[in-house]
Amino acid sequence: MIRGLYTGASGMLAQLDRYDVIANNLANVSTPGYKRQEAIVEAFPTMLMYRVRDARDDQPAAIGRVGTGALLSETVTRFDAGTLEQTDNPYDLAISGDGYFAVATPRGVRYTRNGSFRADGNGRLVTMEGDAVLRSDGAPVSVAAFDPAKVRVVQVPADDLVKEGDNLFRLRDGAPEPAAATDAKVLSGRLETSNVNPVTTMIDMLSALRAYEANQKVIQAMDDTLGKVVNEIAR
Amino acid sequence: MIQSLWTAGSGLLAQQARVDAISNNIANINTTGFKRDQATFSDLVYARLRPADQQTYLGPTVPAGFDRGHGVRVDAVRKQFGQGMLEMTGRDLDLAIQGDGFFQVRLSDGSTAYTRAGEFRVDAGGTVVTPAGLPLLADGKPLTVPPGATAITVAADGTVTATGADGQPVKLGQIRLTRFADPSALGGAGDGVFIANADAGQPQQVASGDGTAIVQGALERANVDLAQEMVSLVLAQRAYELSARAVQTADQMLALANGLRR
Repeated sequence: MIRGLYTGASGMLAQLDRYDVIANNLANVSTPGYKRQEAIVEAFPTMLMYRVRDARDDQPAAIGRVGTGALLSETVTRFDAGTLEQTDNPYDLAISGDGYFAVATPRGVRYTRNGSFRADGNGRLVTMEGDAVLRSDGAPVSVAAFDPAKVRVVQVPADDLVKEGDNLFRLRDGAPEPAAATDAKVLSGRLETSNVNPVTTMIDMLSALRAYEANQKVIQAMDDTLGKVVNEIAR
Repeated sequence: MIQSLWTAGSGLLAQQARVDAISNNIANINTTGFKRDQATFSDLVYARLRPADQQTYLGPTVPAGFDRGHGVRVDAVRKQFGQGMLEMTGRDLDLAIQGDGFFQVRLSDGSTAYTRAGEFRVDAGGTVVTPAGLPLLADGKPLTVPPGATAITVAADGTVTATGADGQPVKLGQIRLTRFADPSALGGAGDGVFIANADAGQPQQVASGDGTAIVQGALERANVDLAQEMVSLVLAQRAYELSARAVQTADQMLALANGLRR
């Protein structure tokens, strides 16, 4: 019985973690260049169950295996492209194809699909945070004689990218330096929108809520049964 | 209590800021020289709850980690300095700038400010001023019109000439335009006037002949496109609804947890 309580609780916690990921996707439905996360829920290992006091030839009688719950094991980022939205700002850049802009932050080089850039006081092309966008030769892009084709676009395998916040990705520890992208084009006056699909995200949200509720019912049922055991059997 | 409540709340705040910017743009659709506001978003930092490539106690190695996000924030609400359309009025002292650059005006404390709103008039003392009474500067000092002068003409490079009371042509000065590397960093002082600061870059004088011109008899309309703003408003409203629904669902989950013990 008490094992069942923990199994139900693990289900609730897994759905709660899954819902955290869904809520983050929903909050970022209009963040340019945002890539949605998916939560992967995994089952705990199963336990082999035995009948009590029913040994046969000194071997306990096995019933079978029972699962012991679930947990959210990992979040995977989905890198499908968002739609391109036309703004008329010449500093809004979008990448058509596979690739990322390279941005020099105080913490090192970071990568992003978010192309909403601006000019700063020194005539460089920067992100809204003030980090310089890099050229193919590693120097910051200058705004004078601005040529979108000169902005550096690199190709990074999806497994090597880790989300950092501020629409930036960093390289996983030990990942190799990325090479220049081969089939990406930089478009000016456009922004890539978030790749969150509101419809599927709402459905995921409902399923997380109902699974949470179902697990709550499991815990309540276990509690009722335990109540009977504790209060009524030995009366 | 649960992270998703705060995450969804951040979505509500961000969309609210966007709606605020859009309504300010729509309210100022007829303001001369108005530049529209644009809100940009970015996602918040991720908490690494489980590192990648680590063997979980379940046994298998998990290739991706569990990174939990915390929602969205407004990166910046910045002015966009695209050119507004020119509306011909035929009035001598209505000036519009075609291209990048600002008129210089003098504030009451003597410092210089910048504006695109070119609806000028001559005050009782003969100085050319904005509707708020700030003098327009030409060659660094307020532009004045001698009494009795007529037929004030402003050339594309800013040279101001008039016909004096005695019928002779007289040169009144040259209006010089100023340009900034990042005009969206200028501080707004209201009435369409901007104040310089270090983030915008050094004020550079616009040389004549590099594509910027002053057009006399025209006013620059706000660079607000009503259709675009309405589409943005609809998108912001729907995104706000999504976040509100996410808050409600998080609330329902908390209610379920509270209902465990009856």
